[in-house]
Amino acid sequence: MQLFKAFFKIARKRLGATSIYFIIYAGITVFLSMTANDFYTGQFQASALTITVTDEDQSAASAALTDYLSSMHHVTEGGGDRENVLDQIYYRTLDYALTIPAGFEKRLLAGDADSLVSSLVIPGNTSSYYVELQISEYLTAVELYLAGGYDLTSAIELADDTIGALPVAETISFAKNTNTLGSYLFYYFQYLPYIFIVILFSGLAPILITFHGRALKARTDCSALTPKRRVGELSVGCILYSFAMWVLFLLLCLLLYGKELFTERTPQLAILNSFVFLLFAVGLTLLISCFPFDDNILNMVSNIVGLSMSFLCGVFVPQTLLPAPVLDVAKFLPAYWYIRANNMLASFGEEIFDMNFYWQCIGIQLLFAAAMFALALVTARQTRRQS
Amino acid sequence: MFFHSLKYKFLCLVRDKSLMFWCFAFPLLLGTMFSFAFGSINESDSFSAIPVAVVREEAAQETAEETMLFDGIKMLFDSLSAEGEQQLFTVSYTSRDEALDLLSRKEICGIFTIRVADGRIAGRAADALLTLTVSSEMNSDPVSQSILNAFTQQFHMQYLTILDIAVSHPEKLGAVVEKMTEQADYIAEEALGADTLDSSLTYFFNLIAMTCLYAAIAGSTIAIDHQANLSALGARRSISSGHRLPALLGDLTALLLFEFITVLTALVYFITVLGVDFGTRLDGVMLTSLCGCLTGISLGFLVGCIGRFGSDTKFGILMAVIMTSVFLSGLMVGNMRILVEQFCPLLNRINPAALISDALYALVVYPSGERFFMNLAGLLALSAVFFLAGFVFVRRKKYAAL
Amino acid sequence: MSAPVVKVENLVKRYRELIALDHFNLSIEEGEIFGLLGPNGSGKTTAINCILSLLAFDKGTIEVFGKEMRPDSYDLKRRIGVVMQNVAVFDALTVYENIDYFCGLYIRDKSLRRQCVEDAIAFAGLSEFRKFYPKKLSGGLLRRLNIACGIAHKPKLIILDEPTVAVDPQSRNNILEGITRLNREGATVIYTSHYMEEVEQICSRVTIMDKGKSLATGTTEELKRMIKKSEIISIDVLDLLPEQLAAIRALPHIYETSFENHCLTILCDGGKHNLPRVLNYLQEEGVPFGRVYSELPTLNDVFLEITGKALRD
Repeated sequence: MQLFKAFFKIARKRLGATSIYFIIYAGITVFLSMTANDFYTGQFQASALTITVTDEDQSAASAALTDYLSSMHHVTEGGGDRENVLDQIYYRTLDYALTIPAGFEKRLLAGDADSLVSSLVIPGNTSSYYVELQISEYLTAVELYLAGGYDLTSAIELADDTIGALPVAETISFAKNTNTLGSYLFYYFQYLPYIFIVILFSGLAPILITFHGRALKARTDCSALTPKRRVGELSVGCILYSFAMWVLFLLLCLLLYGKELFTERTPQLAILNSFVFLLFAVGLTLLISCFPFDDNILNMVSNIVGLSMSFLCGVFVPQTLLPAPVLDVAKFLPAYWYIRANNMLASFGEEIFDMNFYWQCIGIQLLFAAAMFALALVTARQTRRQS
Repeated sequence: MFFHSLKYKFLCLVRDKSLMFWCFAFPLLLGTMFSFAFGSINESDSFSAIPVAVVREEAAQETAEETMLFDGIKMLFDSLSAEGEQQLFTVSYTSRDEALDLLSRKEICGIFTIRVADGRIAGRAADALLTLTVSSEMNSDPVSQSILNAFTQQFHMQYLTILDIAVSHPEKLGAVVEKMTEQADYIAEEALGADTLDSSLTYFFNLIAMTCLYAAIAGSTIAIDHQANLSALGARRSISSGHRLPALLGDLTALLLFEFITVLTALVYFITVLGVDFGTRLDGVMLTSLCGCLTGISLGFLVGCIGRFGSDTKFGILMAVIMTSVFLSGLMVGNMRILVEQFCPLLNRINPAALISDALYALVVYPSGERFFMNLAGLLALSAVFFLAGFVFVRRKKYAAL
Repeated sequence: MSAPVVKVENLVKRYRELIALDHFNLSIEEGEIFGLLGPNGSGKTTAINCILSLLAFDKGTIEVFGKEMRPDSYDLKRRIGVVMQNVAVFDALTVYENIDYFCGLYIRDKSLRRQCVEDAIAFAGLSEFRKFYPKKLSGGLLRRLNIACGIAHKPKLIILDEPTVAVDPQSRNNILEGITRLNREGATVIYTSHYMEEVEQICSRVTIMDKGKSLATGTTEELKRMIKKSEIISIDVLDLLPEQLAAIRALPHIYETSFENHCLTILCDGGKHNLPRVLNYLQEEGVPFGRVYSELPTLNDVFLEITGKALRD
């Protein structure tokens, strides 16, 4: 039991640092899972945006366009000087700035429609896309009516009418097939692979590396402990340590999302999924700790491994947004299968739930975990021979 | 004294082979991975065909006109789902029940329902000619849904316009149809920066921010090595006749130089090997990296100076600060910084990672000299505060306990 | 006579309840090798750190070279060389570079510094190892490097805090010889240790301290004279009658006798010719005896008598 005791003595010495890691990553997980929906959904519903319109034409047509936008968004007129507008756009207090230049109506009537208005928008802002779509739609309608021989006033009227009459897409829900817990809980599980890897690398690996340290290792090698027993005691230490971390994360989840976590079937499957990934993470940690890294380097390695795997496998960016070749590579990483299973449980993306496929995901992760443990054993033996 | 310290600190940094390897490898490896994972993300925006189901609503009776209209719409779908460059949809014509089943299994993105029968052709309102049904469970794929929606709306608008004009000005119908085919580009976007925004750039910005902030670890080591109550080296330095400030500044400068070289190497690699577009203002990018390293070092220095915790605890504190900082600045989830800007803008003004990536953003994506210098000023102000606070601790030259 | 090199008066240093230095006094003259002898935890290192102005203390005054010692007394620090108990060198620098670095904290002139570093390397016998990294050095060599780093700038006052801990005897002798050589070249040396043999071997004056107090100060001889015991005679005797033992006890200068396991032990308090007197008596009585030892008291005896406990427990 000596080694086992020593393991936890060292663990206690590092408790300060470990709890800092734990708190910070738990915080990140909670934060991500709480806000995740904002990132991935809500884009379909065109919500009201803040728009400023600078009307330099002051004509009936420009007023109509402004009114049209006002009917859907918060529109302020004449948003001040350009610098100010830029500032507001930059800090996202303004989503979109539209300038209707002088001569707008004249050009519209003449059918010279290219670059009728100009916009200021931050590149890559998705919400601006919808505003532009709406402006184009409106101007198209007006133009078509003008081409159809109406005068401006009636063209505007008809355009307003027509756009008002456009059908709204019907949204149906197949909620009875999915969980009633909402997807937040599964977002919580989605980030765990990164968190597990980083915490185990920064918390558990340094302890193991202490034991692998040359002097200490030589001493235990000389002691009366059999190698089997030595490995055994350290393994028990590792398992308890990582198990404790896992349980803490589950408790945190319980705190956040209530007891359905344990009573409903899909969360139970998610828990099993996270446990299997935990095994892999422990195996990987064992492997990493065969190398004499110091804390600083361990941290870099943990982020290289953690971030790479997370980005490739869709922990942070949804798998549906990842290009096919990336996903092909990701199949060789266990986090990919973890996320596949989690997506399926949460019914993210196009995944439909399939129990067989779930077990396949679990199985693949188990294989990865076993491979890590085996590799760790071989590496440990190898390094022992060398030293 | 300054140069003496600088020389030897630099030697120490360069000699630590494993540390040096990882310092250089860290941004290179992560950058390569980013480039691989995001390299084709923009290409994936140029989408593949969207699977849809088209359902014809059953009707009691049907006029020849209606049948013709249905055939017309069907032809439209057929042409849109014809294989080739222009393919928008893959269409399956099914019954409503079948379509719902497909939608629930997420094999299609939406259902188009065509209602041509029962005299609805002239209808202007809710029970429109072509309606779209989407599933609320498909929330991970909003882009496809939006495209379907846009398609429906456009279809209706054109349909309704033609309907109106056919009634009142049938002679102009030809002109209108012609107009439809030559869709004008109404909106001139004023370019605010790079011609296109590569959405993966923000990840690279944050990677650079993270690399800069990692300098904090070495910065804290310097602080520890200069304090008699924290290390034997510190004690030895304290009793020497050299003034402490120049020696300390020499060490810090050496570290800054070293970290700057790592970031520069990463930048060169990103630009030349990975082909990341950092724009033309490379001098500004370098200046940002330098300021970023400075802030990182000063942060580490401050944490190294405060308190008597073991180095692993200080290390933990630093990692917590760095990871929170890069997380809030969007390393994991790209638009985090924007979210923060909405809810707590002050946080973005004091978060070093956000300042670094924002400065790069202001250089590369959104050229704004003022923003850029504001961010740099923020970084420098942070560094100054961190250093000064640290110096206050180091200045105390007698210790209560060693 | 010039002012003492180091003068400490009534120094008090507390760590919360623990009193590390309790009105500690010290006065060291130029040219001395001054030993600070005491068991582990007696306050030697604390005293040194206070003298170096590393530690804040609660009461007392410290003067070095006749001036008050303060953290920014750089002119004083320039004349002091310190070898700390812990090895403080850079792992990433070679032997030469380490010495040059620390020497550079004192001497800015490059050619002068090069000479100093060479001297220090020669002094510590590290010439063959100048390109070595500290990790490759043996324990003894590492200690010698540690010393070389502390004394390379040729200080007038050298403070060595247990420089020989965990050093093999050969290296230890090498170090001790070096210290006396430095002293001959004009440096004043303060040497702390809990090895009394070392202190006895090289120190001209010694302060014995325990529990933060200076218990006695003087040359080794002076210290030994302070105690009653001046000579221990032990003689292997086959058999001795109690009245014979009493007779021996009655001889002059003898204050304690004992006879156990065929060994007669006699403690003397000064006086000369104690041994012949005892042997004469034994011959007169016809008592056969074997081996005869006469030992002079050690600092350990001094310490034992002053504090009531042995130096090393």
